Amino acid sequence: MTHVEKVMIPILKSGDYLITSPQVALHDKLAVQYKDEILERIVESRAKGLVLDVSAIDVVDSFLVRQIGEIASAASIMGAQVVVVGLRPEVAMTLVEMGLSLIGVRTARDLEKGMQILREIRKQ
Amino acid sequence: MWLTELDGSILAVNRAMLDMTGYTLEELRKAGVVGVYADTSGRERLLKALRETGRVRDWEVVLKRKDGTECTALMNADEVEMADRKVIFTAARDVSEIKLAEKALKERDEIIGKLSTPIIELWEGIMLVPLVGILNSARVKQLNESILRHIARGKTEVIVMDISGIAAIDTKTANYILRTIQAVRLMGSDIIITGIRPDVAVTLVTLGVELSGIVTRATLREGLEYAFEKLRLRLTGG
Repeated sequence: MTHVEKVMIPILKSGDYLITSPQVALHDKLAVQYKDEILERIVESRAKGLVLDVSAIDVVDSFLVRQIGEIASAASIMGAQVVVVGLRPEVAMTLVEMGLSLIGVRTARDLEKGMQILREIRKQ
Repeated sequence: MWLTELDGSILAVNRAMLDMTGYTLEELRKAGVVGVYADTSGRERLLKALRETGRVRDWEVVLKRKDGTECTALMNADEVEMADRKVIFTAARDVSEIKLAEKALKERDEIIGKLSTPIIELWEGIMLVPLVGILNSARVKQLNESILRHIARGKTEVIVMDISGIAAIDTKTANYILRTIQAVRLMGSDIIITGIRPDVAVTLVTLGVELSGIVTRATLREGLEYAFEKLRLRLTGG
């Protein structure tokens, strides 16, 4: 079995939820590793939700968007909801211009709102 | 007008040029023409273009007057052969005033644009964007930027965009508004369109603008009710 390289992006646990915020540019290889590690952490920690804060990301491409989509769908199969928070105006506009939508991914303004949404989803 | 060697030394210059730059003939003779350019690469670029095509028309360049002020000039330059050597014949026209007027006009347009697309905080988390007049693509672009920037600053939960004051709308503008709506959603805020007048609605339908998934209400009042509901606020009579 190949050793999964650890990504240097912290994934924090708070109650039943995970919080993570990449502060470096997510190039393709790193994005895939990051996705794998997030999914692994979800299984490990039995988290019920994940907040992905992308406020430090200023450039996105279709590959990264697909990775985020995959994180969300895979997590949801494993019983964890993903909320993407902190999209920058220019990033939001790029996604729209490229015709990429974050299908099946909830978005919220900031971490606080994201956590609130996760809690509401759980209550239902 | 002036006639110079390739290295920039002056062969001849007319009165108008001296007036424009503020130098005397002697000063120009001594210093050459290179110092007249505000940016030393200005003349090099001109020469390069001249070498490639043999002539340059309406070349915009910034010149520096003797008193240190700058002026924008449009230049026409030609390479002329005179007594077996190449010289450059240049004619310049001072367009500083036109440039200033253009800049002032642009600034005024921006101010008008900003004033005509205000973002008003109606309630905590509820922003009203009333649109009045004619929407062109420049205005819609500015609107898009200011809305998204506003959301990025936080606090915006719901945006109520009232378009009852819009005279007409075209496909391009409508599509841009749709993209703005999508971007607003991606950033985690909600947006609702109110006050779509019958003729605008007919235009949107005929243009085939995809409005599905977008919350619309007939009047601003209903839009506000929606926003209050969304924020779980209730108005109580008393």
